[in-house]
Amino acid sequence: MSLRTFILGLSASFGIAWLAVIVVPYFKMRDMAPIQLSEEADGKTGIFYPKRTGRVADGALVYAENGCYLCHTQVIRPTYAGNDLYRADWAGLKEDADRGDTRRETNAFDFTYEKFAQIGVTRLGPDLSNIGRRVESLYAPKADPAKWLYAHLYNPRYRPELRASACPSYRFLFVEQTIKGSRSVDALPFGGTETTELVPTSEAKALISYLLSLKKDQAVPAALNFSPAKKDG
Amino acid sequence: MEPSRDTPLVRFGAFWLALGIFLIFALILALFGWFNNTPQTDLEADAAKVRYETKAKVDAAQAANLTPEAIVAAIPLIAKELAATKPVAVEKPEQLIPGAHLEAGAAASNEPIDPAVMERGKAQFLVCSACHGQQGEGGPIAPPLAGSEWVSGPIDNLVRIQLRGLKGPITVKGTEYNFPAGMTPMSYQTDQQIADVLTYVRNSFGNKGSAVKPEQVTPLRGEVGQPLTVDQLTKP
Amino acid sequence: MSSDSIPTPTQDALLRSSIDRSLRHPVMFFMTSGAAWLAVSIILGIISSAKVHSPHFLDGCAWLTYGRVFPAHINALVYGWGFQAAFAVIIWLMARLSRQECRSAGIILTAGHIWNLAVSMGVIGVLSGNGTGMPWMEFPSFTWPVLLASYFMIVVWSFIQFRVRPEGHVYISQWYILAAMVWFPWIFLTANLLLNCFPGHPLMGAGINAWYKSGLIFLFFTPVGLGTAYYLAPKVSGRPIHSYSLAKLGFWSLAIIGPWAGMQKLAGVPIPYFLPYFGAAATVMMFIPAACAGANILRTAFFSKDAVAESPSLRFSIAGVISLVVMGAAALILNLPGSTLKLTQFSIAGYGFELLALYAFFSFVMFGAIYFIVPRITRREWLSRRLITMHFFFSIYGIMAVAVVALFAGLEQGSAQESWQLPWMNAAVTTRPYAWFATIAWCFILFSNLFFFLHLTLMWLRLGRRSSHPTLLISSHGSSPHGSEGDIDNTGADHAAAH
Repeated sequence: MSLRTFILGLSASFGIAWLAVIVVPYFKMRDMAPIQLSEEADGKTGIFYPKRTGRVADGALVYAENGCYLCHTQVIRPTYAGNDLYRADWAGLKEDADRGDTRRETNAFDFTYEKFAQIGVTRLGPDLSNIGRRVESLYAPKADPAKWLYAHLYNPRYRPELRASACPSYRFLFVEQTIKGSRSVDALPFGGTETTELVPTSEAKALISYLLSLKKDQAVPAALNFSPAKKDG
Repeated sequence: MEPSRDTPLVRFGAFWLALGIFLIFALILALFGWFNNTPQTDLEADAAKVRYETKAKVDAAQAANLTPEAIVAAIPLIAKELAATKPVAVEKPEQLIPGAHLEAGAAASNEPIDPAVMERGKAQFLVCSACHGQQGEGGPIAPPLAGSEWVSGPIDNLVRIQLRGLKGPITVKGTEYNFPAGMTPMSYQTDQQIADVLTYVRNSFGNKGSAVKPEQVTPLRGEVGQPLTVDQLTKP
Repeated sequence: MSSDSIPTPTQDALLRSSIDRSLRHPVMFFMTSGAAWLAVSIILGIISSAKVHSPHFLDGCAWLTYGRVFPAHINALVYGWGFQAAFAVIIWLMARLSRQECRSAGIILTAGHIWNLAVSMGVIGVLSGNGTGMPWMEFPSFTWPVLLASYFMIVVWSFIQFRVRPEGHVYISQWYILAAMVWFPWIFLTANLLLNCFPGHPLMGAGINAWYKSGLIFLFFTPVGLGTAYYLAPKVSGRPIHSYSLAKLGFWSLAIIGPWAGMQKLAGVPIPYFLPYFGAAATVMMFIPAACAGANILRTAFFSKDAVAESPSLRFSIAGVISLVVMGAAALILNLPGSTLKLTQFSIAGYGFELLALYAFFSFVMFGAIYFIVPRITRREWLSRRLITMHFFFSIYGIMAVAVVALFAGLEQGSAQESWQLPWMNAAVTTRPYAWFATIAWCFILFSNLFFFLHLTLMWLRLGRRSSHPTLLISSHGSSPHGSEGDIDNTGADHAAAH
């Protein structure tokens, strides 16, 4: 075998896979057309646009820099690939007050405005696709969801039901400052002394804003809805 | 045996061959990227497209019904109407300057008092004499008006007391008076009546003061609320 | 040049020793700095593994939070140790097998220092909170062009050496090394251009990142390791390779199957449906090249059982190749789409598998190569048999614990995660015992490598034994390790160490 044959063989074996698995899917997904809603099937017109509010880009950067993706995933797999959809609060809410069962699998539009979809490496902690929904509706329904998340980030083992959590403490995202006048609006309810208070840094605020924007249970158009027809009764 | 291929030229060629082989797929990728340079669709912009279409439709409908010629033709008519409405002239200083009515009253302080006003005021005073005494000497439920520095003081005080009433302690001629009931408001009286009775009181029982004009009462008609206390009055 | 194409044994031995002399500085540099990075990586690995089961451990320091120290550990292991060991082996093997002296030792050394600088800045960048958040590509994005440029300036000379090699048979190791040299820039540039330079869909970015991770394992570290093992096994055992056609089959099956693997980590993610399942199929089929190469090399080596028992380099390489077969079996068992893939997809089986590939297979073969190459380029022999055996056995203990983590932890953790009726905390605590296992494994590995670092440093300082007899793990016939001659010059043609 000569060098030329070798390089040609290597390029062919690599190139076919490279084209089929990397290049063509990459460029095709880049040019994905938005899904048009139809009047009959979806009840309204326009395009499917799961809007997210919050400091998504900044918060996603803090999420990436601090390695949250190593223990938390952000994907709800369809039932042929896993049981994520069956859990009561991962894919949405099983019993939402207004919409009933809002659980759905992840779709391709759920990561808009993020540069890199943090699908996640392992599940040492729960999936975070709908953490915003969970905190607002289940964990802190009558309180400030941001305060709940700040408290969790500061000391994940604070709540008795989370004593066994292995989440690291992100104390370094908070800072203790002297109280000027009255207590700051963002001040945490614990920590600090009579003259000092614990406040989140802008990184913590961006991260919490990002986490609260994670509500991936909007209704999907009929074109994207692969769940079987609901049985009556 | 063929000659050795270990020559500097072969080595040089091998260097660039290696570079080319290492970079071949990156170059193909760059070509793909260059030819695939469609602008990325932004969901926000796509969602907004519908709104822009609607806006365009509305604009077109409006433009159809309201042509530029019609707009230009309407301009002279509107201009004529605007020109016809006269602005209000400034006749009295108190239309622009707050407190100007007081100066008007001060300017008029040397004018002789109109006897008709004094007559009407005297008739009106019968109401006041029930508490303040027929000679303005005061009584068990009202302080004296005769020689009172409040009566010959700023007219505002008298008008406001008349409209809102007075409560609490007040010092008149060195004596402090504090009547539990205080004075009830007399705001049912017209501007003319208030002006007349105040003019009469200011020029009777040994008092000498300028007349009170109805125009000086009108601006203070906004005085409503609880009866005044002495610290809400201007010191005489 | 001489007119006959086949040199005499003496000429060949002199050529080999001059090749070794020309390469001494770059190869020793890569081996020692690689070993230093291995030490750093192991310490970071112990810290990060401890934090999984004991989150209070060192939790006051932002630089040591799990999310930063774990990427620092894995990137230091891959780019600091893995690549530098690979560089040492690539340079030496290609020079020896192509019978070319190294003329660019200075450039290689400079590029090696720049590589080290880039890796250092990358690790500091990750620990200080400036990582990119893309697994195995967490170094801040200014480092990748530097790494690529210094990579090129290190390995291009080996390509040139291959091109100008004398006529004759090309050995299988040369094809493996050449393939690894070419594959790495292909996958590195593709991944970095598509993720860092071109704007794309975030989900495909995650897919390409997974493909890159798998490509580094199967298309760089595996061929370098196999090339080395294919060299050491016949060389030390004295037998030719069992079957050359099986070797070629193994190589081309790796080349055809390898580039498809990787996206099985994204099963169920909304990317084109076939991508994860092609990846799973390719990973499962990786058993084929692993089995072919494994069978070939093991048959060659075990023909002479004494050699495996006596020679440190052969013992390490064979342990590595056995681990390769285990890794192939693990790739098969853990990635079956119908059954185990959904269990292992988000479990620590992935980490266990990566360690099987990077440490159990690749690093063991590299240790074998280091124990073989260093005496030849420093012209000293290893000082102590005991240090080598300690290194070997404690690494074996450590890596067996990692194999348990890979195979069992993943499946158990996955089934706990899939039990959706139970609260999530149940699944979260099933991992704990395996996390302890992983920490213990890393402690064993650190302990074993302390002996290795000590030994290598002594050799680097040229304090090895001056002898013509190699340090063997079992001395045969009770002879003194210095041998009857005890002469310094160990490049004599009729000595085993001369090859």
